[in-house]
Amino acid sequence: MAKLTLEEWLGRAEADRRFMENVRAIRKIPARPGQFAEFPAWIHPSLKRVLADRGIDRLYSHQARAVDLVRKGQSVVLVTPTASGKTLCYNLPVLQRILEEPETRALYLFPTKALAQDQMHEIHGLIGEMKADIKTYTYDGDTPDDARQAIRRQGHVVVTNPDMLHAGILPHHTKWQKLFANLKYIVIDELHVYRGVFGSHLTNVLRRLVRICRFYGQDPVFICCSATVANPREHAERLLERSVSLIAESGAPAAAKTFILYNPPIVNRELGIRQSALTPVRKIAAEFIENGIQTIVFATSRLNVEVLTKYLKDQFAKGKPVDTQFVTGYRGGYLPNLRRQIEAGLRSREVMGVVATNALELGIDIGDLEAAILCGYPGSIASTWQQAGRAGRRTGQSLALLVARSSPLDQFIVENPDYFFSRSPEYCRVNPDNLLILLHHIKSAAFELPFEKGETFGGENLEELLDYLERKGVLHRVDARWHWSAESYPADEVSLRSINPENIVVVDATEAGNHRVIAEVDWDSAFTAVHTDAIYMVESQQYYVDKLDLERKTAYVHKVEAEYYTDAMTYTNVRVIDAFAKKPGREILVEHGEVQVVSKVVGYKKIKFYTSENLGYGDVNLPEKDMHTTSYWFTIPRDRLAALSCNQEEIIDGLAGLAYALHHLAAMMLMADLHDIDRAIGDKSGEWFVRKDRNWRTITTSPGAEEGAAPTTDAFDPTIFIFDAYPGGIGFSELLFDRHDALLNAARQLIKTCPCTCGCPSCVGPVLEVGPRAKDTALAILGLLSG
Amino acid sequence: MSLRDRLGRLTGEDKSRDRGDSAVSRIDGGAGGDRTRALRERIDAILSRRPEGPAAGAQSPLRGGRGVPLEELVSGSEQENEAGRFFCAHRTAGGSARHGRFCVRDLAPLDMERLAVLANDPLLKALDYRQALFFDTETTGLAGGTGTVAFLIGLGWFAEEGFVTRQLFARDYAEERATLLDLTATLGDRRFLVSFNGKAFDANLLASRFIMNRLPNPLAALPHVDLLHPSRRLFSHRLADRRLGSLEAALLGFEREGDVPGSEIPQRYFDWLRRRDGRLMADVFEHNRLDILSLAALAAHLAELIDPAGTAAHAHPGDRVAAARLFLSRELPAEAVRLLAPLCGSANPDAARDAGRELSLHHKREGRWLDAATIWQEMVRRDGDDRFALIELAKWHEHKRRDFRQALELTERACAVADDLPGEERADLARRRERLERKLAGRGSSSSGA
Repeated sequence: MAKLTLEEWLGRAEADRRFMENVRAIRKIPARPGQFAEFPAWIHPSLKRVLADRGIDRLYSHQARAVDLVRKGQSVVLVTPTASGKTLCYNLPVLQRILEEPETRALYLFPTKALAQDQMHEIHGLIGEMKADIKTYTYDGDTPDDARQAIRRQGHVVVTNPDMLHAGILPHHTKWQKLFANLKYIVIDELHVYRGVFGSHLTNVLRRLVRICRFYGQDPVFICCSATVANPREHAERLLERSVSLIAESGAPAAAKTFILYNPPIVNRELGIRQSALTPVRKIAAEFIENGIQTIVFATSRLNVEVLTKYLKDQFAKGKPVDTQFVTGYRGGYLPNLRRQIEAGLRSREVMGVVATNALELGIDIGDLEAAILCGYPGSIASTWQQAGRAGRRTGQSLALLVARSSPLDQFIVENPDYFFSRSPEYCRVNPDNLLILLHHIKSAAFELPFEKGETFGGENLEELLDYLERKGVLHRVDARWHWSAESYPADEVSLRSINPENIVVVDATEAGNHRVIAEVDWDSAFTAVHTDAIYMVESQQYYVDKLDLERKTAYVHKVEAEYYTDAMTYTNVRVIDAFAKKPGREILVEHGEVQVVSKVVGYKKIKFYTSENLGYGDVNLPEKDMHTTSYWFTIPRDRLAALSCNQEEIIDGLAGLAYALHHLAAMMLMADLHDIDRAIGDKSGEWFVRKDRNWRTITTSPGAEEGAAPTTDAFDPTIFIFDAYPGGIGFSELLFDRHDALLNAARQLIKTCPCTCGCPSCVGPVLEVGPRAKDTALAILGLLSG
Repeated sequence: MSLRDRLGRLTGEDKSRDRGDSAVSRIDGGAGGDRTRALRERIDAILSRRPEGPAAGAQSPLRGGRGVPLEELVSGSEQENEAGRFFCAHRTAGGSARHGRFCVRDLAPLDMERLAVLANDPLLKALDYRQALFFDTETTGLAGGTGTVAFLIGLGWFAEEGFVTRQLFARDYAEERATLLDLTATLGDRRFLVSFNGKAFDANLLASRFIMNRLPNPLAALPHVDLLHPSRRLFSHRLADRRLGSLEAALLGFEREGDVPGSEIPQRYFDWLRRRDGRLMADVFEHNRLDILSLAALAAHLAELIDPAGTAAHAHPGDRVAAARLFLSRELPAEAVRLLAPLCGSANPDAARDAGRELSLHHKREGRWLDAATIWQEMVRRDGDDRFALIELAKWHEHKRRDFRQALELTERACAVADDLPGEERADLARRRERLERKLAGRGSSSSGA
């Protein structure tokens, strides 16, 4: 049978009624011609020559602008699509300067080691072809000890990651004297990755970096690259705390692309259950690969990568022996050598199909593929475009196919194609002055260089914070200087990437004397995932938790074959401490501010597999967690609710369903992980709150409060809180407050267009969780709010 | 809300926090207190995984009472240079002063040839032992990095009247610069450094301090005899703990009394910064001064130990074997042979065996097979089960003398005592035996050997 080209496949698909029934949108994005500019006159002849050897005899317009601005000493942020030649925007000015002044040094920051390696190869190639004496090294946790000294002294370009800069380089800056005393350029790629907690840490690491540069008399130029986000310049300026020129128009040509949004069919309308996204993905990917259409599949989890890879390998192994490399997986856990091999295989088309996590989303060079299949919405529009950009980087026709899962985010995206295809609505947010984060970095900064009176660091009153740390005994003030005065190494006390550096280790104690660690759970998830008596699942093996030992930070488990899983019941109680702002002129109170959040796991339900039958309850005895953070909230007047023809239980269910949808949509708008924010329903005093209980949601009072008459919704005005799940807040709340109307509209859209009968995981939550009328009630409440 | 209040609330330290809002006064109950404490503990855990600050000082044995000025406890005085003031303790140990089994006058002169071997640096041969600067620092921690300070720099050198120690003490961080300038001045014409683990730690730390104070580092590029490395090579065969304090006791016959443990020193200094009690520091000065003296004594001991001409009668014969190995690794075989030859007949059977091995293998490498074989035969005579000697002799008989019968007999004797050999070596032995048996069987045919 003759093989189909991608065009032919598309033609057939568009004529196939059953396929098209599930297609929510097809967009044809036309090819775009390139815009070019000549090389500037100052480019070194040998640089020009090696670029010409690679077929580059002029620059794209955005490259020309970038190198020109950087040459003039202006920091820039570039927002350009995949494969638009952004690496040249920094390699060109950096190499040029080193050729002119061989003492020049540059520091490149990439969020992952793999990307750092990739960039190293790229710049290495250029240097090798120039035959120039320019040394570039990666410096990360894998760098051998005996190589480190040479890198510190000789590396012209040092490629590293923020974690290494934070814990390995800055606290030892005297060993890097040569670098810092000559540091002219700092390159930060994938700037959009630095948001939320990670970004807030990075800002502080950069504050420390700039402080050290100043000590050595340097004020380097920053060259940043970012995927498309709503606020690239603002984000860059918040991260760098300096003015930055934005370059957003790409001059690179782009191939024609077809973008399809695909929603798998509903198989159980009652429960709102859809066909698994894996099913169509597997089928379509196999068709492509069979037809010689080189394909990348993005899955959202490591597990899905393995499952899909196995399916596809099995399919192609049938009957005839195939090269094991023909279809392969690719994810973080693979060894670097294997990954390099796969990347090379993709470039040479020996690998025709690859199933990857977002590890391949960032700028690793794998050549031009024809089709990208996204098994599940990657969580942000920026990521979606980046993953889609993996197909058809420069020429020909290409296809991107997004297959939705049943989560509200996925469903919202595929059911609202206009939202998706209009300009990216996602914002990157950081809150570098979060007091806890700031304090950590002030400690590290003091370790690196004593603070002088009159210095600034972040937006808070530095002297007061230094005095605080002196009272804590870690700083010692002599005259106008604060010196680090403790034995510890403060950079080791904080990880830039996780909210809480404490993890709980899960230990399988099935065999006495052969305990082994099977997983790590972060501190906050541990309370619900591995509480005593919970059923914990790893790779579909069930484990029974014998004991959660918080002091030893260990959960002891043993293997079981249980017919149920457990679902923790928690209550979350939010109390407003201080409202920072409120929307003027509204009947509905919309505010944001500081809150106290108390949460406690009170028990768990045993739920039978497949039938979801409730088999019983158990108690959990864990301490409450108490956190001060920032929140956005709105309050619905009780008399308005009374006007709805619903009983109290239904109203509570409706509020819970609405909060469920808002939580998911807020995460989407913020480009945040679902766990970065959380939700609660209660009153503003923290006196009344809604609690998921044995039987149903009930309104309850805080523990310790006087027992009174059974509370009802008549007793208070219900408030929905969406809060930052990080002590001190991370800056999300204010943004949600600003976008309150957009958020409510999106929720209305999501719930209204959801084809389920009465609530499903895609809109207000599973019907068994939120009750039979939650969907209608949530919509009715939304109706009240728009009034 | 003030920053102080926010900090108090975030860290849970503000116990009497006023909740302000009338609607919420209820939460101040017992549960609220527990909650506050739990949060505080957790945030403390986030802020620092180690206990730190004044609480740690409470364990100090010297808490309480009025402080004693440092000058009353340490013989020294305030000094001043262009960078400011600092405290300096300058002492001379006269020739008759003792340090363990040594008299100070016996420590010098140091043989520079031997020091060059110990440090593996031939540049030292051109220098004089009076150009040595012995040094050791006391620091605010072992973590390294720019936040660690050498608050006490101990220096020592040989002079006409004995051994001089000079300790430079920064009474607070602001005095560090003056101590560094004094270090540069004291170094003066001295041309090389002697330390214990100074290459990896003290010299690096000082280099960092000079940079932090924007001063040129006078120590950079000086030859450096770090006694840790040769000590490891010479004594690891019998001393598991090779820290300076343990070497003193085992080698120099020096026992410290009431010494402050090194791990307590950083906290002593932090406490000193707050309380200025000389009692906290007096022990640290003494600890550091003794370290410097021990450096000089250890240097003398090591030089003596590796001297092939010296008798080093008191030395452990195993140490002399290790010294010979050191010479071999420095490619000075003549010295090694001079050390090893008398050791082969040592009354200490382990030393005799090790010396025999080293010397015979050296002869073998040089092609002096007969000399080697003589040693192996002597070894077998002394211990009929000496597997090493049996195997070497078997090789010699097989390959050099082509006496396969003798070689087979020796191999079989070796096999008989091979039970504890690692599998691979046992297999080698078995292969040798098979080969020899084949060769013996094939004798007379044209292909007798391979």
